[in-house]
Amino acid sequence: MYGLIAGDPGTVALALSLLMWVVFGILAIIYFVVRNNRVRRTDVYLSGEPESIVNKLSPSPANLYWGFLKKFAHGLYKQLRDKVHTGNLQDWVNFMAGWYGLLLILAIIVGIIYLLKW
Amino acid sequence: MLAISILVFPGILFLISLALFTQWYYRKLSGRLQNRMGPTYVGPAGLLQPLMDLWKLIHVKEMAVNKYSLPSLAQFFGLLGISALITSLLLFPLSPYHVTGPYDFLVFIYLVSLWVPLSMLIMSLSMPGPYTSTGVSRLLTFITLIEPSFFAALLAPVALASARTGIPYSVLEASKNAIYCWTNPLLLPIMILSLIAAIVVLQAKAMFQPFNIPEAEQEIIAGYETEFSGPLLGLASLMHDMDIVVTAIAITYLILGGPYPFPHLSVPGIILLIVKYMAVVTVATIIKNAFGRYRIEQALNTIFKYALIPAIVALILAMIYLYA
Repeated sequence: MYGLIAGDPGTVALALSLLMWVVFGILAIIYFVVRNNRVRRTDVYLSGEPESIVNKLSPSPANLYWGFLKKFAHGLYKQLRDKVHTGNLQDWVNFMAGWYGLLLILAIIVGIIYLLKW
Repeated sequence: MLAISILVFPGILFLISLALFTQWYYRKLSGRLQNRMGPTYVGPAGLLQPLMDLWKLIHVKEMAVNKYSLPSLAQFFGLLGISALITSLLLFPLSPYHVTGPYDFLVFIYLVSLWVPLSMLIMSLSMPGPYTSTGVSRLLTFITLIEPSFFAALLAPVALASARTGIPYSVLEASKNAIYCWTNPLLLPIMILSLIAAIVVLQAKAMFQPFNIPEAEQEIIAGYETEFSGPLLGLASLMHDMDIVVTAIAITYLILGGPYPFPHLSVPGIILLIVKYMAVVTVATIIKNAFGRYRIEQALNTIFKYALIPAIVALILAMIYLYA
């Protein structure tokens, strides 16, 4: 069997990353030899509308995750809106303190287990 | 041997050929399922149509750019994504030159689940437009669920199949031993769950119906591909097909066990490998033709229910089996 049998994943990652750039070089040479170099200048495709229309209708980064957060993760979004970001600082402090408390308890438990093993 | 593996098999020449053949197959089968002819004119039964399409785009068509475009950056990332896919095949037993080591499955995921989506996104963002932005936002939303599902769906079989080989989480060892997981009644449910999750992920990664909302034609023209043209469209199309091929090969080897227990260079081994690969692509094509397009939240819910949850359940069961 031909090949590289590495003792750790780092060597595999390094070898394959280097090979990826070798393949990239070969592909780039083939691509730039066969491709058509002519370029045609054109406007952005806007279904025949002028460019000014984009100012109003272009999707903003704010709605990048709308489908994910507001639709798919609706339950999570509702929780966050109604229990955390209610506008009342006390709600936010309660929420954060709860989570940090849980993390602290988990850290203590893991720490004890770790120390006992020693 | 390394040069042959990179240039010919399973590297540049083979992967491009298989990607074009796979495109012909799913187009032809879709055509027949929809009572159309599918590709017909170039080559026997239209077999060379995808090659001619690619050649026409890269060699004949000109690239249309606007004042906001960065075509060099887009081409750079197109080539880089294709390179990552080609390189990832060196991890599989298919390659005469193997690169292997413990936990190399993570390197496979690094190449396929990081470089390919990243390349696709940067390609699209380099050729901006409102339809592109909408397509990219939908694609990003998809990726947040697809790639973790892909990782989890393959991790359970890889963990099980490579556990007692001395090289844990190795793609090579997992491929050789995955077939034996199907014969163990305790592991059978885990393999079935992983297979279901992986097929749904393939469907979503390929953006086949019902998961074609990022390129919804009637709504946002071609979504993330709207501003691509000429050679750049050729690169994007090739990367898309190669992504389908590498995902199908990963399912064929890591879940279905590739040609094993027969060796690669034997008639039953080759037949078994081809049958498994074609079965995976056929199932994806039939699902493509049996469904209409889902809205984005419907698609996400479906991926969550039928890909991520089965994959996580399979992974938990696999961990219980291995460590309990």
